[in-house]
Amino acid sequence: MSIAGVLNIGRSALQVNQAALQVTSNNIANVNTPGYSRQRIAIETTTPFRTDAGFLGTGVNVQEISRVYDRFLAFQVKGERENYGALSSEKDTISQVEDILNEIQGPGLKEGLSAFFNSLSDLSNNADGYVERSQVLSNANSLVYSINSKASDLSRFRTSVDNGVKSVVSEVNMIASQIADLNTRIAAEEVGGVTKANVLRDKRDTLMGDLAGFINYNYTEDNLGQVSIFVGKGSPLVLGKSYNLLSTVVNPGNGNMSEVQISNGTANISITSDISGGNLKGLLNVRDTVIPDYQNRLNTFTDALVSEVNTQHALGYGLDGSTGSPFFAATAGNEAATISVAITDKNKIAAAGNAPGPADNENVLKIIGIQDKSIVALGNTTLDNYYDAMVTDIGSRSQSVSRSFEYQEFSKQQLETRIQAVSGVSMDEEAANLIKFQRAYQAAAKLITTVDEMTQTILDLKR
Amino acid sequence: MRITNNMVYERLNANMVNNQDSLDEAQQRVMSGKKISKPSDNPGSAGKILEYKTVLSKIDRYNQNITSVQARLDFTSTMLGSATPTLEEIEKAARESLSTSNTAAERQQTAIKVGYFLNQLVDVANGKMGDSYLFAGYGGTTDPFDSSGNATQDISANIMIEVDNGVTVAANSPGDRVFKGVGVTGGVDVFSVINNLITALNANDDAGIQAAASGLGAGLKQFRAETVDIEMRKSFVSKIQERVTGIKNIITESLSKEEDVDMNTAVTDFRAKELALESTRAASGRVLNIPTLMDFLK
Repeated sequence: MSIAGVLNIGRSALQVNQAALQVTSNNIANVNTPGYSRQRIAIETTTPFRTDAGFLGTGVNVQEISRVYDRFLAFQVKGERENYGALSSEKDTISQVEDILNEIQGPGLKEGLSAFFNSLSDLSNNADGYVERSQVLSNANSLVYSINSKASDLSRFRTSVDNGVKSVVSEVNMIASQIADLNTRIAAEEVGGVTKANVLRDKRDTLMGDLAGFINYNYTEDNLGQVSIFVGKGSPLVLGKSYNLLSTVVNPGNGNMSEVQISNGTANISITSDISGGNLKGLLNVRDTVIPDYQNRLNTFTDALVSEVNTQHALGYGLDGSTGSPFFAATAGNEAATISVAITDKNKIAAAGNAPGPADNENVLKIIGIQDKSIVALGNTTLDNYYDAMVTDIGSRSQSVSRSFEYQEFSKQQLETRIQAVSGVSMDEEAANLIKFQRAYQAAAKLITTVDEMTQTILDLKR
Repeated sequence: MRITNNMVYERLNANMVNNQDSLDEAQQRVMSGKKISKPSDNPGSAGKILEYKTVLSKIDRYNQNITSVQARLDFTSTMLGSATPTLEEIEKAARESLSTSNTAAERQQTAIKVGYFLNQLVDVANGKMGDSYLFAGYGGTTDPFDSSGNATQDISANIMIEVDNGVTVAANSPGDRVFKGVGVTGGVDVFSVINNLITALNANDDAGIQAAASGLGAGLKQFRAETVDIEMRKSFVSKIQERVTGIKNIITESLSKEEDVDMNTAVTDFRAKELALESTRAASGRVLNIPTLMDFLK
């Protein structure tokens, strides 16, 4: 037991409180840093000194500087982000499909359909009218144009969703390589297993949060502090220090859309059907389920229009006596994109029900009747109702995705707030700590002054 | 719960964005006057709007057809109206040649006069509205009757026009019914009666003239019957028009209910959303100005 011992205690107190002040200032500095978890200093007493009277304390020591972090919350928020990512991309893309099919505002396909039948009705008033016949052809052409453009808008949009899939895949690859890199650095910094690489871990957590927004995954952390990330049916995306790249390959069996694959070192495995979260899930769902559904329905609609009108038209006679001619033409299986008006000569419009009689409108009346006919191929509804149902359907789908999205956004925000409550920096708290440690620092300095005076007293004895 | 600085800012932001979003929607409704701009705004209502629009478009078509049928029937009725006095003149001439002017020479004079009347009647029977013959049935590029009143083609068809869903009405009077008496009880072929009359007059044939005169009486009845028929069709079409217009009003009103914004509600809603945003801003301003412990350190 010596004066030097007391001096030493003062020194340790100065050092520890200075370190504590540094941690506090760092927290204050990083109050707005995304992904930053506040840090806390753990302080312990140093090993005491044994005397006959008992143990004498020897000072204070920094045990650990750790980040305040809730592993369970982090795991939960990963799930929320996966759902959020899926719903947000689904919501955005479905609302664009809705825009393509929207008939509520502006001219649409339905208006074209009505105009076509209305011009046929005008023709029934004046079956050999030059103007009426021209009108029928021009309305038929604009109907065909609007069907064609809906079809091409849908297929163009499907391609752009596919491009979205490709860009998400490259984002995922970038994150995977960064995580693998961070794994290497964390393992190096944490060697020995005592200190935690807080900053690097924060960075890695942020990246893993971003990754969850893109694709769903499972992860494990090994005793070196490295995480391994698995996607699809357990294919490793990141395995400690190494990572595998996702790739896309054109799938001719699915309209030349991209198949998402992962390399397992030797071969590529398709994981398209195993993706159940993140932006990729939403994009794939819209690309492979939603858009094809409406494409098929549009084709069914067009096919019914073409076959009903053609069948009836072929039974009638044109002004030139022609009969048996089709009105529309379309390629089977791809009707909406290929429908065209087969008739160019207006005299061939078969308005007459009998061999030529210029004012004969029997057949055109029957063609008009198709508008009100329940068509078996459309599930016993009319052309109008079938199309209306399609528009209403995309409306409900879009509405329900938006609602789920809002709910998901809310619960994601709630969880993120809870994470902030645990890991975020509070200025009040830091200010209080600042005072606490500053006072302790002042006291330690006072202690050293006291020891200095004690030493002076001893030295003065000799004089 | 620990409240941290970022929590406060993020909540403020989220609320501000939400309020701005709903203010924007409310503003959209006030400015466009429409409740929905896309199907997802209200899918149920969207379905109805689309259906109503189809019905309205069909009603416009029916109204157009009704107008066209009415015009055609009016025209036909006027034409028949002008044929009736001519036929009456012929009948009068026939009767006179049986009583007062009954010499052979006078009858030949009458025959010439009747010939002129016949031409007038044939002109009426070949009458056109615009480009289309009134009494030609489905025929149409050449005159349906030759100069002596024989049909040159099939003139039997009724041209049916759709005036309501599944309801059609004949817009014409077929020539063979009006002038040939086909399908009319006690009907006569007016033109062959007149031709017979001319022959009988020239031949000074009392019995022939007598027969023709009564045939002409039947012909007049036939014209009147057709006129009555046309009037009946016109009144039927007017009733349909009333009904269709009634439906149009109902559907237009229903469409407006689904589609158009009630301005009182919309403006009130807009004010409410505006107030909510203002309150959020005011609260945000105050929260952001609350000093932290830092501000009290000396």
